[in-house]
Amino acid sequence: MAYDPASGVLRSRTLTLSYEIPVSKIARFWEALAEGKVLGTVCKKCGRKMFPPQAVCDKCHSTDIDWFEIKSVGEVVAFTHIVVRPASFQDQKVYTPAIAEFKEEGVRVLAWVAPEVPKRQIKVGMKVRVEPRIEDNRRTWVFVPAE
Amino acid sequence: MRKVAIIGIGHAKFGRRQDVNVCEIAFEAIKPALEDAGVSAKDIEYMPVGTIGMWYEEGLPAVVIADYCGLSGVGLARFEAACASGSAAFFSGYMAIASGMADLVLVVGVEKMREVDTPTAVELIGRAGSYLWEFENFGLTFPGYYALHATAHMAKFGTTEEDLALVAVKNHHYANMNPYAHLHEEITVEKALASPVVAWPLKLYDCCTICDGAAAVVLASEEKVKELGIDTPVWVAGLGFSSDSGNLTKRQSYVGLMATVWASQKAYKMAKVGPEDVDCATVHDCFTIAEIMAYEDLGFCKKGEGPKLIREEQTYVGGKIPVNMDGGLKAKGHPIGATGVSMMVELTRQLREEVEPRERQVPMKNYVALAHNVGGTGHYCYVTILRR
Repeated sequence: MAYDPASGVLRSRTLTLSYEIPVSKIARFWEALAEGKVLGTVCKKCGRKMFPPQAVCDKCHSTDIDWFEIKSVGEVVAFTHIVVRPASFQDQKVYTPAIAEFKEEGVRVLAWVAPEVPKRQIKVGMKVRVEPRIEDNRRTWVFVPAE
Repeated sequence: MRKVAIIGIGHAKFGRRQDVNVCEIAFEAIKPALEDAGVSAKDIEYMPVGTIGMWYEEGLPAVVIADYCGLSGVGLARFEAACASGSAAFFSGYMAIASGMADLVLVVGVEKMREVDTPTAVELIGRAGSYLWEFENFGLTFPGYYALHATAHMAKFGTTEEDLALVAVKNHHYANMNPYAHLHEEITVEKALASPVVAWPLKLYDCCTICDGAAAVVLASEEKVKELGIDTPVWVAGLGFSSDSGNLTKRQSYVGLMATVWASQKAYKMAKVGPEDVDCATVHDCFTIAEIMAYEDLGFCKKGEGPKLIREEQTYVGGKIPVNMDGGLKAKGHPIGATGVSMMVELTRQLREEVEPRERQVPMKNYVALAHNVGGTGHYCYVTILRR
């Protein structure tokens, strides 16, 4: 009983949580990152394009799904620089999540603008490509300037 | 469907409440709500509780709160709709009476967010979205989600950081007069603009507070209103709900929240009123940009004209549509599950014309008030229209 009379609170037992997230149905996505590709899924039945990828069509519920690569030039439609960071991101410097629209593929993607890109250069309308990065065994993807 | 009225309201002091646990803070709202209605705990048939939990120790909050307040035996459920959890609980209470299943319901909204440290609270709220695609690699925070909308709104409509600050100035002004509010501090545009960046372009004074709080309302059927001889029942005239994609990449634009548009259209239709009939509103201003988007999405002005509305002070008392006279989430505080119920408490006071001090009281023309409660970043939305 960690009772602290000064603050009038009792510190509870500690619980550490980490989840084992099943990704086997979209394993292709995580494998393709190592091959230098960022993939979305497309429904073979109705043509619906999906990013993030999923193993079933969210529109017609078909399970007949194919993969496509997001390789065109996209445009940043929203971004932010995260200064106040969550507990598990305390070791990071300020980072910049952005949403870019890839008209050619018909999807929008959320990712960090690559940390080496000067913050001042980042704005709505900026042209970007999405590329995989593998850092500390963590597979992710970032936006890099297209021109 | 039967008519449903709010007949009792109660509100705990919002803020960093290290002096009370979740049951004790809920009691601070439940006791006055029952007294205001003139009923006792044994009269209550059902108690839906809006709360997220995680940041406090109890796993079954509805159960322990009912026990602590002598309500064990009533129907119980906990409701989660992110920051709209309070409205989800309110909706369930409404349905229980409208359907004829109950005559007297106690709706509780409660949250104790300050039992964990700030980075942990930021993490737990940040995970509210599409975890694997937005948080795992990208650490999006709740301010971050709204900051994405702010940059899009600024790029499309020329909205400025000053416009955002004006919303904060208004809401701090009214919170300063609300004894239940977390923050009692008048601020200036300059002070807001000089505050530290949280998620650019949002700064500290653009953000609601992470705080503890509770609110409660007693709902009754028309028969019960007559039986109890309630002199000023506030009727639920309209209710609309909606949602939008879990993943932000599936949204068509980032300059508004479609869930708000859809939910409000349903609520207006049910209440047979339009935005021009609303005397005052509480809108979901978890961040200043959220209040500006709410003006537009609720139809108080055209899309893109939200900044103009605040620049012209049309959302102050005496303006075209007074908004967040209780200080809003921004300065009254945003104890997540409590917020939706707190909105009902404030609007009931407004409709009863009993707000103190009187500078906070909106002059009533149609006796119609609107509560707009968003969960996440337009992931959920509830719009409730009350009428005296």
